[in-house]
Amino acid sequence: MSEESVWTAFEAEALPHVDRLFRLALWLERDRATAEDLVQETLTQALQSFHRFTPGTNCRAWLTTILHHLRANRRRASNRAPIETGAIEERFGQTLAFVPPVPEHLTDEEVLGALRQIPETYQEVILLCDVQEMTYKEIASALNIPIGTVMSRLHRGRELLRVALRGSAASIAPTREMP
Amino acid sequence: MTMQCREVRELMDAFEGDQLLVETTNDLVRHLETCAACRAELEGRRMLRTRLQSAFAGADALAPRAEFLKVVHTRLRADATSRMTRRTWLKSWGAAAAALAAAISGGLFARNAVQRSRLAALARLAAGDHQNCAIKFNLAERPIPLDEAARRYDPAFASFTTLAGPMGLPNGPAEVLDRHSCVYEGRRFAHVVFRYGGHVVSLLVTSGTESIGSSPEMLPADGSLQVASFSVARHLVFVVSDLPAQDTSRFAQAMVGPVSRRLTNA
Repeated sequence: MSEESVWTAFEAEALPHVDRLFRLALWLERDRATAEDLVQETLTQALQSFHRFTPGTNCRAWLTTILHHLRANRRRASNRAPIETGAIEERFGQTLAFVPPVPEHLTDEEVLGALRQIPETYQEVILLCDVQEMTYKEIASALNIPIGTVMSRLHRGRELLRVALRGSAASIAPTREMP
Repeated sequence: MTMQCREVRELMDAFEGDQLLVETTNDLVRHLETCAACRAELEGRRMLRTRLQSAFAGADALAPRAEFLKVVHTRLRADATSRMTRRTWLKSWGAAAAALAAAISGGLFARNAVQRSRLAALARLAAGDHQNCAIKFNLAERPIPLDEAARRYDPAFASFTTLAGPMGLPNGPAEVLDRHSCVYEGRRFAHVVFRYGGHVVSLLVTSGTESIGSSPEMLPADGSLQVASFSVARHLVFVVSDLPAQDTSRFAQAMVGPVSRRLTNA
């Protein structure tokens, strides 16, 4: 494939996902400049590696995987805590005694506010599955965790989200501001 | 809630993620046909998912700046153009002359070329070690325990004494067959041998400053073997097998986390 056709294919396949990719980056990073830098680097790396992308597969998942790997590398380089923590399953692994039903009437602010109240580990898998529409296998690859862990985090995260939606999340995790 | 309802609700996430066996899916669908409460529960979950998607997509606070989108597009286009220009230039003036000039000036291109060449040579060594150690038991020097190799050669090798096989791979679990340190053509490796999907897979770690990145990359190897490699903490990691390239790459991908944690903490 010539460089010109690589650019044409990249423009058609990858660039339509920039909006979603940026929203995810900003949600996770909570800082616009950092998110812009991360997305820029993700796309630059994706362009350089585009010959490795298999046409017909999920380009958004591929870009999201690159973004997560870059983010993990940056956190390691800056000695920040790793994104995934083993202790999280222990702290929040117990089955909740009662999972409230999903409220019928919800505003966007309530949904996003509730998502912010649950631990980041769970936010991440919920966003990759429900918003980025990645498969369990794609999420496992992006986060470098087994599929079983993806499933358990999704299950627990969705339960916690419903509790948070009912306004009971004050005891789960401190509320944080939207970016 | 009956026991049956509880089971259905526990399986609902897997059902939505298309992770259930056909028989289980059929049982669940049959239950939903007769249970209004579980249907409402499933509907609620789907509604929440839809709300999340629309809230995320519609949040102005999360939207990228138009200026940023423009800058990204311009920079990427410029990157692609510079690659095109470089290609044209190389075609016009001869790739060999350009590579020679870059090598003489000690530029990045030359360093990359040398590094790629070293990596390719190391990949061939890793494939040779896999073939002669894990498959044919035909090494000139007898393998030694990892603990001993850690004391004598590389302390990081001790961290592989407890490395387990990757989880969640499509062909089932990977079983550890052997672990030791061995030498092939003068190169020392920490070597963990797995059986995965009926194939022998080697994870080989050796010290080296060559950097290939933390995401596995397939490297050329002789014969039918596939070699995926990544680097971490001044070590190079090779996954070698006769599995298809995609499966070898996936296996290597699954090992990035556990191996990186060990090497960075060593």
